[in-house]
Amino acid sequence: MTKPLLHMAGMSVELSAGKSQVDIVCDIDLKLNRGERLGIVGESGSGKSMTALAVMGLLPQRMRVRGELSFDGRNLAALGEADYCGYRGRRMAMIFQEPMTALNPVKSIGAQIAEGRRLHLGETKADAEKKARALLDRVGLPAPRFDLDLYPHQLSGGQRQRVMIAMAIACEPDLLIADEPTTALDVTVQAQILDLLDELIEDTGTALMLITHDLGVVSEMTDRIAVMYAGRIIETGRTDDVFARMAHPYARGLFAASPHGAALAPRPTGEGRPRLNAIPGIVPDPFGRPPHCSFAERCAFVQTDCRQAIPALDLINTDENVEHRAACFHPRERMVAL
Amino acid sequence: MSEVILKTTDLVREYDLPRPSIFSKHSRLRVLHGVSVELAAGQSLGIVGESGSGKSTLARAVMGLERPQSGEVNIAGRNIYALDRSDLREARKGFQAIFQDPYGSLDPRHTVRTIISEPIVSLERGTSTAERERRIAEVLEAVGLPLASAEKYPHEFSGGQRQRIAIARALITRPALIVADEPVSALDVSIQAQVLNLMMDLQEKLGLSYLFISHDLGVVRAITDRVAVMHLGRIVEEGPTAEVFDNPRHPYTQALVAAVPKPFSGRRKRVRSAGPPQTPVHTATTAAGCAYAAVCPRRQEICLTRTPEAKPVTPAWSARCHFA
Repeated sequence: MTKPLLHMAGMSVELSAGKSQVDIVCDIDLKLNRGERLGIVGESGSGKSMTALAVMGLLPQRMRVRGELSFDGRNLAALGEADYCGYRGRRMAMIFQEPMTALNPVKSIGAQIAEGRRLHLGETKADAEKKARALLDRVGLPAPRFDLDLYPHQLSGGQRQRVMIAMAIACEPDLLIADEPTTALDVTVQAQILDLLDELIEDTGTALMLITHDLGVVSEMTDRIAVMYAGRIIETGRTDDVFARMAHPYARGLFAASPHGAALAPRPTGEGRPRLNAIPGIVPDPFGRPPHCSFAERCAFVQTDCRQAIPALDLINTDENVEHRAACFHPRERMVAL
Repeated sequence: MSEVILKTTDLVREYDLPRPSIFSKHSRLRVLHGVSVELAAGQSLGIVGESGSGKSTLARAVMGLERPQSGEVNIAGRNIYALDRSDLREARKGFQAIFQDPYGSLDPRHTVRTIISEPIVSLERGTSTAERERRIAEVLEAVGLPLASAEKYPHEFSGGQRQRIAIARALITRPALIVADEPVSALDVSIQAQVLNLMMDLQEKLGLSYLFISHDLGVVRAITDRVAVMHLGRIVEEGPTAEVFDNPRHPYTQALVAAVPKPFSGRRKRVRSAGPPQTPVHTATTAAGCAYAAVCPRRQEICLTRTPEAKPVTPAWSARCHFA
């Protein structure tokens, strides 16, 4: 195997608040090869968006990356801002969650799509606009209804998300990061956008890092997933393997708490409506993460050793050369027979 | 069936659109095209649909916040738009709302005590302080918050706890009907389950009825008995929740159910959705024909010429489609 496109080893994102420092994201080990699709799943505060921003070099001022973070062999953490600009938009691109706020309201969509090509590839205005036209057709916004001189406010949410995608793929990046690309959209529009992403990735062979909290979306879109909780990866492996086993109690709890899980659970015929399997408690605040397993307080299977050390991300299985790992002292056995 | 707590009849709500110039005619946008729903006491009815389907407008009309151009909203047998001010104030004790955004719906400068006692202060004037304190303690306990929370401010709570505060505020007048407009959409999955469970517990304990509005079919399935699917201001299908979602009859409901990504479905097994989403039509008078016909896979001649009526599938289940 050649070198991975994106490589993180023991990567942490450190936040300094006054004199104290805290790791928002700790000890991430992740590899992403060309053409691969990786899903990152977690709730708010799990650090999934911060991991993406770290890759893009877009972390807020007070945060900084420790550990190894390299892209195509280059160490991103040591890259200066000017060099980073050569990567961002050219080699790696990001689709943001809110298509309402991520587009510039005072520039036409044509100018926004063409900008990347003019900056990175030095194309003339005419060439870049011709390309922008082709990109709009590609993402399903055909002329003449969708002209280059439209402004974002003239488009619906789904159409704006298509414009965002056109901007992201304008320079044919090697890595596409999509941070909750469909969360703000209706389900039917979501299905269209996911179909479009699917097609584009297949055609261009770009690697995808899909960040979402929706277990249905990751299941349909990705080859591998990493489940994050309180800044750490707690389970990772091939998507079907992780879904089939859900070795970490949090992964299992997240699934059981979702209405998808509730729909699969057998319905008791007794009185009253069946309850959802809520996970008690809340995600620990980054400043108050315990020195042991951070899920111990909410875990239904907690034992004494869970409160003594932070579990390592241990290998539990290998399937088609992809490791299935879980950070739990007492991983669960297979849940669903597939 | 038991007593009906909420009944709307042929609700029509239109908005005036801005005129392109002062010489052009006023045009109007019809958001609700004669919506009739019924909710039995102690039950919950889900309203699902995409943005622009009119589900939130329906909620606002039911809350007495937007007077419909025609049609009636009957809550516990009284048409709330025919009541005078003092009777409406009296009636409002019987129905309360929970909104989507737990960050925007609580005043950041008020303590939780002030926030949750506001309905008493405005709707039940003359309640003694002791009685008010007792009721505050009662609702805080009901939603599972410590009594000390009353002295705190909204920013000191997490999203799930804020939604509990919003529920406490809705409960304090001891209503029979709660209109919940996307109450858990802003919450994380694990917290969402906690709040939904709380709502189910309260329903059983206090005999509440919920009008539950959401775009999330899974959430609606978990908490409602019946569901009404809205499309462009019309209810296109209504029936028992599990049956409608397991075996939808209207092509729009089928498209919605098929579009939800499901775990375990493996890569790329999504059903392609039918056409672009539709937006409400800019006319007050509605053309003949089915509003879904433009993108419907089952379209026939008749769909373009005749507006479908609600056809019964079973006595408790109906679909507004010529071919249901």
